[in-house]
Order: sequence, then C-alpha cells, then structure tokens
Amino acid sequence: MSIKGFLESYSLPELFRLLDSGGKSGKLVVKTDSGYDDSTNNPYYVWFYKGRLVGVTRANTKRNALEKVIENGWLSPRVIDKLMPLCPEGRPVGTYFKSIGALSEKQLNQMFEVDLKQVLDLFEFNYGYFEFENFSHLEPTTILKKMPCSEMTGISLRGTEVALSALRNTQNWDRFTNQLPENSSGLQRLTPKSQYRLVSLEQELWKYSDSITSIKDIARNLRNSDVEVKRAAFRLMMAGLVEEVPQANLKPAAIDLRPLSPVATGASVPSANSNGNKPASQGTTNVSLIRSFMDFLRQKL
Amino acid sequence: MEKLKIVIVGPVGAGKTSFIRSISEVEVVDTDRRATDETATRKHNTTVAMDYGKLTLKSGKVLYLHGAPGQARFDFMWEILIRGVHGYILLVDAHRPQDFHSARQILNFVKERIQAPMIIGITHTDCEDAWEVDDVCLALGLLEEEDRPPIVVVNAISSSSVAKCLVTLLEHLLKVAAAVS
Repeated sequence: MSIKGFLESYSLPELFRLLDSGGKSGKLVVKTDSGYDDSTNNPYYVWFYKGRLVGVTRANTKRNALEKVIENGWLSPRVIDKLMPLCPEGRPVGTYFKSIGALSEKQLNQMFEVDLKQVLDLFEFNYGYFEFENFSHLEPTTILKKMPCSEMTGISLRGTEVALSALRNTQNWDRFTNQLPENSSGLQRLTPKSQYRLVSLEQELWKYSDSITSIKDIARNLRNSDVEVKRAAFRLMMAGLVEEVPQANLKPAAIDLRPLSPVATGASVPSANSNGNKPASQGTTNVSLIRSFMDFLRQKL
Repeated sequence: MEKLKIVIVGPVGAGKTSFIRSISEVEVVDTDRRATDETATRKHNTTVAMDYGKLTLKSGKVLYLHGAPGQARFDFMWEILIRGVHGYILLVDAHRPQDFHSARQILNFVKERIQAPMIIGITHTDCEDAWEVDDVCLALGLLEEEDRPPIVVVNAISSSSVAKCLVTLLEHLLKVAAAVS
C-alpha cells in the first residue's frame, strides 16, 4: 500500500504538498508518458527528506549534480574521482566538497538549480505514473544511506515551495481545471503568515482569505479575471497556505424542522466555527437515544 | 417519536448507496440514474437524489440514514440534508486518488459551514492500489493525528462493518455532547 497513481488523476503539485505536509522521506518514481520524453524505461527519481526535495536522479543516468561541476570546469573528472571515496557515507557530496573548499556555496546553488530545473520540467507533463517509496519509518541514518548522496548537493527545498514555483511558471493550466476552486468558494488561511515570498496577486489574495469572501468577489474587488484569481488561489492551496472552503447559502434550519425534527433535549453541538461564523443548525443530541442505537448496532457486529 | 439523523457524504462511487443498503431495514429508495456527464466514466449509474434508509427500535425510536448525491454541488440539496442532522460520515475511497480533492472540499465544507460531528470512513482499503489510511488523511489535509475526527476502515457492503462505523459515529456524538455540556 503505497502512494501511487497517475499524474492525470493526482497532480504533481498535490503530491508535493502531500509529501511536504507529511514530512515524508523517500524516493518518488515518476514515469512520464509523452512523445518527446518517454521516461518509461528511464524514470525520474525525485528524492525527499522530511518533506523537502533534496535531489533528482534518473534511473540510468549517474552524476546529475556533478555534471555541472565538470561542464563548468570547477573540478576535473579526475579530481572528482579522487575525492569521491573520501566523502563520508550518508553525506551529500556537495556539502562535503564545500567543507573541504573544493566548491563554493554559489557553485552548490548552481548545481541545485540543475536538479530543480529537472523537477520543474516534470510538472509540465500531463500524463505519467508515479509511486513513492517511503523511507519515513526508518532511522535518519538509514534513510541517508538509501539516498544517492554521491549525486546530491546537500541543498533542499520544501515540497510546497517547489510546487509554488512550478505553478507560477506553467502555462499549461487545462489539466488543473477540475482542481481550481469554485467561483463561489472562499479561502481560509492555514498559517498566520506566509513563509514564502508571494507575488503581487498572491499577496492580495492572501489578504482576502477570510473563508467568507468568494473568489468571484475577490476577483471583482481586485479588478482581475476570475480565471487568474482562481489560478493564484490554486497556487496558494498547493503551497499549503490556504484551503478552499466551499460556500452554500444555507438558510437557518429552524424554518421547518418538523419532518426531520431532532430530539429536543440534551446538549447541542458547537454553535460557531473557527471564524466565528454561525454554522447551519444541527440536531441536538439525546444521550439515551444514542445509547439505544449503539446497543442495537453492536448486536449486528 | 425520537429520531436520529445521520448523513453519509463523499465523492461519487465512495460507497454511500451501498453503505445505506447494507444496514437499512427498508428497501433503499433507488435514486440512481444513468450518469450522463463526466460521472459516467466512473459509474454507469449515479445517485441523483438523496438515498434514504432507516433503522427502527422496538420502542419506535428511529435512526434515519441519508446519502448525499456524490456529484452534488454545494447547493440547495445541502440545505435539506443538514436539517436536524446529528452527525456525518464522510466516505473516501482509498484507491481513487482522483477523488481526494473532492473529498477534501466536502470535508472543509462540513467543518467550516455545518460543524456537526463527523467521522471519516475509508473504503476500498483492500484494493491493490489503495493508499494507506494515514496517507489518505494527509491528502484530505488532516495533518495532525490529534486534530483528526475518528477514522474507520469500512466495507460498505458488509452490514457488520457498516454497523461498526455507525457505532463509532454514535460514540463520537456522545463525546462531543459531553464536551459541550
């Protein structure tokens, strides 16, 4: 039982949000299915440590991170081959090379950008298969031993931040049509402050994320199109910053309760939600009635 | 007459109609109709109105079960559903990640707009492609274990499994009632 499925069913932004929010460590195998890059036989391995992207490799390609080092002449293949065996087990080669002065921090960042570019490209695929090999239950030292440390820079980025970047860059929005929030939905903030630097529209949207104001009203207030606001909202959702709250114009149930009248005694359920809004009415709870049905149902177990 | 009203919600095909059929003492009113939209790719038939079932004790006390149409938007149907409701069961199919988004929407709606006690029933966990219950919870945005509503694995076509799920909800109702009294 693992996290697996098709990209057309569960999108990469959703998946990265899930791996981030669950603090997952492991290997995400992605087999894209597209005419110009069919990776069925050479899948992408996207590596996560505690919900953070730490590297990307291909099944049949080695030395991703070090390609840039050789390309730019920062180190020769001969020096790399000499230094590699000295890198302690479970330590990313990038941080080791930096610790001995072979590479600078700037060079490491440039190396990580190569990884990141590959991952961002993955977000553009409409079709593909993914499966996550979960290491989260293992000890940290064991997890690190399973990671391709000889191809890692040691730099990491939160899964949600990667998803946010990918969605800012994409032009391919058709595949997300069913996941965009409804025009009538509100947005609820999940954190008091955004940990990511937001672009202008996202910042404005963040201000309106009071769970009440609908996307349509926000778009009108911001003099922007519904579509653009929905896309920005989706970005914030995938960044783990807001949650869509569907709206419905629920009238008070007290209008006519007789046909479905709840029992009249006992304690009632909470009367206000987290935003202080009055939720729709529900039935009150009769303890003896509930116990009677519990006894009845237990006979069916 | 004393009544309890339980509403079963969830995406298309999560098992809501089966759930009610498995336990109801009366023939469940068949509100399934041939699906004509994108739902048709999931099920040939889908629930277009509310499924309805009931359980009656010798004393005449009744427990009503109402199933929400899977493809329902958050419209007038919910107004009918929430009248006098005592608790909800959100059914989520563990092997259909494409439905997690819809389930998450329903969950947020019930949490924020209705706030009746709710539990989550995870179905189809025995299927080959099923996700772990904990991963389904993450996909629903339920991150912290202590903040989650009760979660049960349920086989919607087994009356004993459905009974167990209902008992879990009733236990939760008692806890909520005790907490606010």
